[in-house]
Amino acid sequence: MTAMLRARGLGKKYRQRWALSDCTLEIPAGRVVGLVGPNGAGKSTLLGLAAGMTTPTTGEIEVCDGRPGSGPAQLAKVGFVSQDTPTYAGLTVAEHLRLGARLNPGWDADLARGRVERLGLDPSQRAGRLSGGQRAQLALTIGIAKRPEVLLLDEPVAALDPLARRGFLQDLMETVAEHGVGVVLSSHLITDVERVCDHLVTLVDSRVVLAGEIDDLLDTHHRLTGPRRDPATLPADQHVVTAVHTDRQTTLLVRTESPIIDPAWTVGKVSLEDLVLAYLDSPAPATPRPALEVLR
Amino acid sequence: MTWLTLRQFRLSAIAVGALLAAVAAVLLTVGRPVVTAAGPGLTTDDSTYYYLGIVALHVFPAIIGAFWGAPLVSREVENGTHRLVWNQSVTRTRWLIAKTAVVALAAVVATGLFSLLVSWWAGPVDAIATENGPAALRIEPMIFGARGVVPIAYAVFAFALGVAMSALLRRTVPAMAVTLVLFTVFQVTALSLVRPNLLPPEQQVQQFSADDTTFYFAGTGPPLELLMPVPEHSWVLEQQTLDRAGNPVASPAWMFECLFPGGLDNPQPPGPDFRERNEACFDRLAAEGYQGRVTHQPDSRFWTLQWTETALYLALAALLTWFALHWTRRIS
Repeated sequence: MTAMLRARGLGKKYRQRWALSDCTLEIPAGRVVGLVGPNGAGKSTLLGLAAGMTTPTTGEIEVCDGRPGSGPAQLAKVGFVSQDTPTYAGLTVAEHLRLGARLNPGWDADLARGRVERLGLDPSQRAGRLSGGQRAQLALTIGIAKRPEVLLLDEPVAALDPLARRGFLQDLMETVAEHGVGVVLSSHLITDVERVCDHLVTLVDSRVVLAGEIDDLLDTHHRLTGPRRDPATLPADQHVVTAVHTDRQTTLLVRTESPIIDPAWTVGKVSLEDLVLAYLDSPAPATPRPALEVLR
Repeated sequence: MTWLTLRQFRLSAIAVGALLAAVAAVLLTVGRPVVTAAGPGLTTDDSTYYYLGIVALHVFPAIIGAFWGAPLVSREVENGTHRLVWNQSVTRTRWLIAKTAVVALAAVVATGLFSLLVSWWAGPVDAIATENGPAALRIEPMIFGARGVVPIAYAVFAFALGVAMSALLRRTVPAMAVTLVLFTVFQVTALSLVRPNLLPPEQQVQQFSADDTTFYFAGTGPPLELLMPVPEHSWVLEQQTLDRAGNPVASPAWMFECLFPGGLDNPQPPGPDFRERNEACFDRLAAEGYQGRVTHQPDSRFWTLQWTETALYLALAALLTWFALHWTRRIS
């Protein structure tokens, strides 16, 4: 199976600081990937590397089986909308579409025109006079209408109000479903990711701490509540992500492939938000990291 | 790419076009100066326009470099639009080549028209130029840089310098400032160090003669500088006195005593004696093996020098463009 993104030992250093280190990932084609993590965790760096805006310091990355930014064919395969959704302030909406048509051999003019019409953007309006949400929509339109295999979106909804955000994501999902394009979407809002993504990558402190299909992740993580107990006495295949103890009670978040059979535990489901927060909170795990799961 | 380049370049092109149109309107309204070698010299007004034209042609390439070159990459980076345009299906290398090619072509056309306009207007003045006025020869530095094809080469070079600084500094205003400073420094340096040696200059060596040698006093006593008449229609680089071995030296100290026995404050009355004594001094100078040497670029080399200098500047522009491409690839 081809991967839409494959990284091996990928790292990027800016001056003295590693913005991303030792990142190994393999994301199958056609997924909608949520890239989450606190600010400065390396989300934009990873997307920049995938788009070919920057080159790695260590390791390698492939997007759709090609080195990012290696040539026009590779650029055509990847759509990238960066965080500030840049547009040319002096160019009109129609001119932006013309720009897209001129610079992309695979440009889908009907798609672009249709989207602009549906979004109610005035083609003769200068981009500098659009609202933040409209600008984001225009940038996304250009990204989609070049008909890439993978669409990389860096915090596309950060500048939008909640209503516009919902509309944007809904619209994005419709387009994705229609054209079968893979998406990597960074966000610090887990609810957004939960709404649209089927795959999750969590970055903390420039490292991948959790990656996988969201359904799998939810199925293999459990909240265990029971009498106070030392987590070290758990079966070997249960990895503790977080542990909270009170005088009489212990609450654990564990990851395991096998069912929980110990009757002392009350087993509860974990929400995606709780799961991600648990990984953001826990210090870099010394036990085998779930991130390794996507390795072969 | 061409469409986008032209669309983004539209305003700057209109601004410079308007500037050129205004200059053309003024020069056409004023009309070419009516001057002849014998007849009336330059009027004050014509003289002003004449020199303004020369200055403007020297400044114009700097404007191209600062206003067309320096914003080319940095403005995109400042506005973040490089992340939009470099993620279409065109590599940033091709993007930059397309942009520089279109704008450089515009710079060639604009400077060419400007140079033609100024040369046309100044034609009558240039025609009567001699070593002794009323206007400078076309081979002389200030006029040379404002005639022929070299202004175009300066503009292309300044533009490439602007683009390179733009890609290196990634900020428009610093790139403009550095471009202006570097271009000015380079022009001044090139004028004194490069152009005189573009072609090996001609040298004219001969004995000093009492009839046509002029004296130049650095102070009030010896040594004094002896100046031979210079070759006609030439850019004189150096006038030297040579000893018997051919080394440049100061004129011998006795020459001053010989010519001005009473010192400068006590000049000898002119008369037959005076002339005879002068000739005796020059005879002794010749006998001791002293000669004069004039190093110069003759006017016949005007076009050779123009094309050589043009080729040099275009080669430098190509090198700078290569650097700009290299630095652009490193922007994230």
